[in-house]
Amino acid sequence: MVDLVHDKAFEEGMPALRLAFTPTPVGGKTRKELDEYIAGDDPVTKRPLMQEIADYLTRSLNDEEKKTGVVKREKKRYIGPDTYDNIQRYFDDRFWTDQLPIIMPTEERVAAMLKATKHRPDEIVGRMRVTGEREAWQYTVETVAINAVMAGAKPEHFPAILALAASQTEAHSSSTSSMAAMAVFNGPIVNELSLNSSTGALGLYNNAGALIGRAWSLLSANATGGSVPGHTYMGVQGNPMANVPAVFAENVAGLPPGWKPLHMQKGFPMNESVVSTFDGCQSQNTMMVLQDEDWDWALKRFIGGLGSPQRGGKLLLIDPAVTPPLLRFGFDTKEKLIKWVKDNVTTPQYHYWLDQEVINYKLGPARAGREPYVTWLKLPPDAPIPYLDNVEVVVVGGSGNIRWSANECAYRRSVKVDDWR
Amino acid sequence: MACAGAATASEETRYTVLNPTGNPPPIERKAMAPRPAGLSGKTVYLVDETFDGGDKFLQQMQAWMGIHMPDVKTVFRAKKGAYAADDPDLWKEIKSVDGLMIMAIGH
Repeated sequence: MVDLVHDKAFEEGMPALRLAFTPTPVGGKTRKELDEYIAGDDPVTKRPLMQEIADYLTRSLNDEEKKTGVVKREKKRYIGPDTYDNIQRYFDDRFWTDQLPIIMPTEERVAAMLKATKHRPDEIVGRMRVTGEREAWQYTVETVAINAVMAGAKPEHFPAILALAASQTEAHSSSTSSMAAMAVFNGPIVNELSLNSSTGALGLYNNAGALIGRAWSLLSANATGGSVPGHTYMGVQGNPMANVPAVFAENVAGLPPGWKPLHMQKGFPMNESVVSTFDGCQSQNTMMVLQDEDWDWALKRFIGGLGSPQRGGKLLLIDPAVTPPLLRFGFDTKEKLIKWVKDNVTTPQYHYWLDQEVINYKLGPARAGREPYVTWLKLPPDAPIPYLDNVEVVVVGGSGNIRWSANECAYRRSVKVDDWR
Repeated sequence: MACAGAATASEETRYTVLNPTGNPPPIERKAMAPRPAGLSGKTVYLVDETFDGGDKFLQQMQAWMGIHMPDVKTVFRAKKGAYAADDPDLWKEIKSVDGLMIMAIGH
């Protein structure tokens, strides 16, 4: 945490910002325990905390602390020449890899990748930041190609990887919540690349999905300078879904009548190749088919039990075998199911405002008068809070059983693949 | 001596590769606020940015300062907006009394 705080101060232009630290965590401590922190030492400098803070508030500024101006940060374009093992180690040490062997991104291999698009190598594709509060780094078509080569992707995958890059969805979030990301393809690109929409689609049982996912993962890490624990990766426990994000196709053949494919829900024509991204993925909850007798109770429990009510995003991944009962319950469109979930998955006002994540992220906006939070703050304790505001439904799976999943993922955006050919 | 068929270190293929990282923005350095010679008679704002118990921590700090630094006036404030949002009204208020600020980021 100490490195992260210094990094942030540097990014904001005050590398010498006077920072004092307490032991961690602060959250969840009693007032008596916090008193001990205050009366104790800064664990980094070993100085009495309050004495240090008083010194920081009153000591005259030194020359370094008065500096202004612009500092440019250069990077070297080439690494090497050196052996495979030494370059792999150089990349691993900087967290430019997923700590697995990579394909060496030589100029020749990158040039071959770049031939799969008409876009110029120096064209800026987008910007990413490891969290919403950190600085945004820029990446070009060439940056994307370098990471695609490292992942082992082939030139035929490159337009799909560029479209993912253009979504600017960071698959290596540095949130301490340990988040992952997912991407869903629709349209002709699915058959073109043989993307999996059936058995094992969310796993890595698909060459194209695994390679595109790995390229997205490496790009997300490297676009922001590498995913370095303590600096640009702070996931407290990490996330097993994060190394290679799930990249799969919607099972369009398994959609029941009336259910539109995801890309058509987002306004694209059926024959358009589109990738849609989801992030903030923290966990997955799986269950079997819903019963006629208590489907509404089970659905509320199943989705409502997934994570903090601060997180408004959920992605329902529904196997084709599970759709018949949903039709029977009246969900003859995805939109009806989404509306039902948003309206009926709730939490009591009292518990909503006691949730630490809600306090962290929603209490400030409520105090600033932002709706709906300011209204929710004034409701009676037992009032139901409909906290879900980003719910999507995708049909995927091989129908080997009547199982499906709710995922703590939030939809971000959809990008046309053909724009990147 | 190298065995037949095995590459020696000097014969091993050597690669020159491209840097896979993106481009960071330039840093615009800002001078820090000038400091007073002492805290006596000053107003110190204890500003909570609403994350992970920072409010309780600062309230305890305020109590500690009331006992150990009685000649310093303290004001507890919770910053408006999400934890990373700007709160220009608060900064204006602090400047208007020539105040100082301790911001706590709970975690």
